[in-house]
Amino acid sequence: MKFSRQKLVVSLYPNRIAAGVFHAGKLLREESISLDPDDWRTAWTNKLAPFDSALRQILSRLRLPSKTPISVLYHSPTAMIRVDENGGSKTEAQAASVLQFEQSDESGMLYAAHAITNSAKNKADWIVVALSERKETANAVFAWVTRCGGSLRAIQPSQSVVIQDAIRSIRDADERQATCVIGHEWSAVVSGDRHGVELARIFELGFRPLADVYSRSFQPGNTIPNQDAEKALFEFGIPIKRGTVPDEIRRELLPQLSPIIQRLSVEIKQTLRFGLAGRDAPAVLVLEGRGSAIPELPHVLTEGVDMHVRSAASEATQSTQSAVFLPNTPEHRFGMLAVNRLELVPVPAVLERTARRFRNAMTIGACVAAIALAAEFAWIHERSRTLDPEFEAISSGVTSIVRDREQIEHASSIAKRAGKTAIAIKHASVTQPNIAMLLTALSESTTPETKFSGIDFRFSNDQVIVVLSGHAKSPNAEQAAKSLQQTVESLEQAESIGTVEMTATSNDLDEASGEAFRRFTLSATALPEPSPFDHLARFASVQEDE
Amino acid sequence: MTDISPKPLLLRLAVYCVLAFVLWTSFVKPARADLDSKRSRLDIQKQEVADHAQRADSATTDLQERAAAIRAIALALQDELKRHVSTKRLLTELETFAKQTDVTINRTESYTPEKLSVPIADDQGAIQLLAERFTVRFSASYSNSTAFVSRIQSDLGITSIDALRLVPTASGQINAAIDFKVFRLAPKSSEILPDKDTSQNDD
Repeated sequence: MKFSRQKLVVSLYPNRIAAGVFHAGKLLREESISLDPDDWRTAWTNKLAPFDSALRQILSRLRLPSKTPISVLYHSPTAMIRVDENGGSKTEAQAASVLQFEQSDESGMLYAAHAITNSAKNKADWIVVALSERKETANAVFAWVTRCGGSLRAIQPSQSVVIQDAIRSIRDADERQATCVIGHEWSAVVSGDRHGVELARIFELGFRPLADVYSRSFQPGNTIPNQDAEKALFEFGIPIKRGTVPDEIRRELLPQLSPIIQRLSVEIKQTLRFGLAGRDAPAVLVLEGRGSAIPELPHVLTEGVDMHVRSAASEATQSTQSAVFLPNTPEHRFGMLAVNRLELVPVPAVLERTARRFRNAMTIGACVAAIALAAEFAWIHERSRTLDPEFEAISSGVTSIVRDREQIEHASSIAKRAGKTAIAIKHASVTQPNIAMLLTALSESTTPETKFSGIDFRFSNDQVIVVLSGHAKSPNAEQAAKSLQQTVESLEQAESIGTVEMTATSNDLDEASGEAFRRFTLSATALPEPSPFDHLARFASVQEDE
Repeated sequence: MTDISPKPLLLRLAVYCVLAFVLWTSFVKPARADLDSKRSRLDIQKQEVADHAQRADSATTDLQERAAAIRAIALALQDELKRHVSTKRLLTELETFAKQTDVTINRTESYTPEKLSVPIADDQGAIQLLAERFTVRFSASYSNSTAFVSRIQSDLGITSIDALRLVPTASGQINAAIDFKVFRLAPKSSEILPDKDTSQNDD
């Protein structure tokens, strides 16, 4: 993006192209190049391509940044000017003129209107200058500027500037007067005073035909460039007096200049005669515009229009006659205007401008987004940094918690290891009774008559069975049975024994001694000792918070 | 003519959007998530510290006592499992018991130890146990046999008596046979107390 407060105005006429750089209301520099008027006839059909090199050359000479906005003032072959008197507000008056154009013209046109001042006939009415231009013409100008590396800001046909200048000049007049603005290709006649405009008309006749005469005849047998011809025109003017130019040249010039001046006089005179609708023409005709600086032109026009004619051209204007952007010229006014309601913007330029604005908006948006992202990131980082002292403040407490937690985890880990080991041992073991207690109980359960012949411990996972075999020996069977019963009762009373079951008994007789034998087999259930691994096994499933 | 088609604009807009999204997801979003996480962690830690501070010192003492108790139990279990570092030592102790209880060991049979693996954690391997089975035939008086068996059950280590048969003889002596297993820690096994030195094995 390049920001430049400079304004570049390009004026395009059939015989020359000029460009002026304005900055802060001042003309900084200007350049101009002569064109071959023969190219003009085909220029528009070729979208001004014949003038590409000229514009590029001028832009190169001015050394402006690329894409500097360019406003183009041009002699339009297709523009239409209307001067209307419309009532209502300023906006309504302008809209009414545009509407009239739209109703009468075909499609494909661009319109602009400017309510400049009040009407003399009805103070409530506005004098509106309305302009229509073919889009093809406007697009040709856009394409021309774009091809040459410029960026088109706006365009305006030169005739609209001429009529604007003429009406504005009347707006400042204290007394009723007629003004004729003589431009390069167009002239405008306006009548009225500062209270209102009573007549405004533009016609296609400027000072260029006079310059063309100089170009053809100022040097007999030789055509001089347009710029030199204009310079000579503004230096010698209409050579009605002897001595201003050599007589042979004067004799060449005057016959060619006279019809043009006569036509100009007729245009002015007829305009005032028919345009004022019966009212007397003002006593004074003031010449303005670039053409007003032509020497002797007021004098010769006085005779033609039967009015007192005076020129408003300043000495400064006349002293720099070769320049294009002189004060009071349409080019100068066009460059100085900050707001110009008769400017036209070709559709591609509108699109391009919209696209450019969108691009700029996107770039700004991207920058804003990037800044926002950076700001948010910085804010987050800062917020994160402010938390560090808080972490620091509770670090001792956290260390204590971590230490406790590690202790718990360590203890839990050990408990689980011990628990799993206990489970493994328990699964590989069988139920264990207190064998010493059992053997003591067995010993204590015997009587003098009772003897064990075998003690067999049978271990399983859920119980321990002690199988006892033996006999009770007594003089008689009853006594033997009684002794056995005492043994069984004693076993049943033992703390380490649960139940006692007599699985087999048999009676026998010792033939030698005659004593009775009571043989038996007992099955006693031993009470298991509580396993130390039962408690340890619970460690295997211990949780850290237990 | 200048290109005024909307495609470049839309492309540029898309690039900006993607760039912004990438920047946001690469820097801002992780930073914000980190900040939220940090805040959350701070809140949790503050709460934990407050809770910890509210708890009486006795809770800490209790915790330490419980941890010490668990450690003591585990240490006792480990000491029991490490008591017999070899079969030879075990048999020596068994003979000592026999002498002390006036028991005559007639025959001792030992069998290939059964291996028990106790997985503890993925990264810590397993505690390897050996269950060594013995059959001891001995003869003694009834009371001495009782004392001998009691010593095996109580003092030999972690044992499991699997079978016991006593047969009194005419002389008043007892001929007995006892089957039992003794559990011990296998050499180079992980230990119950991870920080306990296990270099005492001398097999």
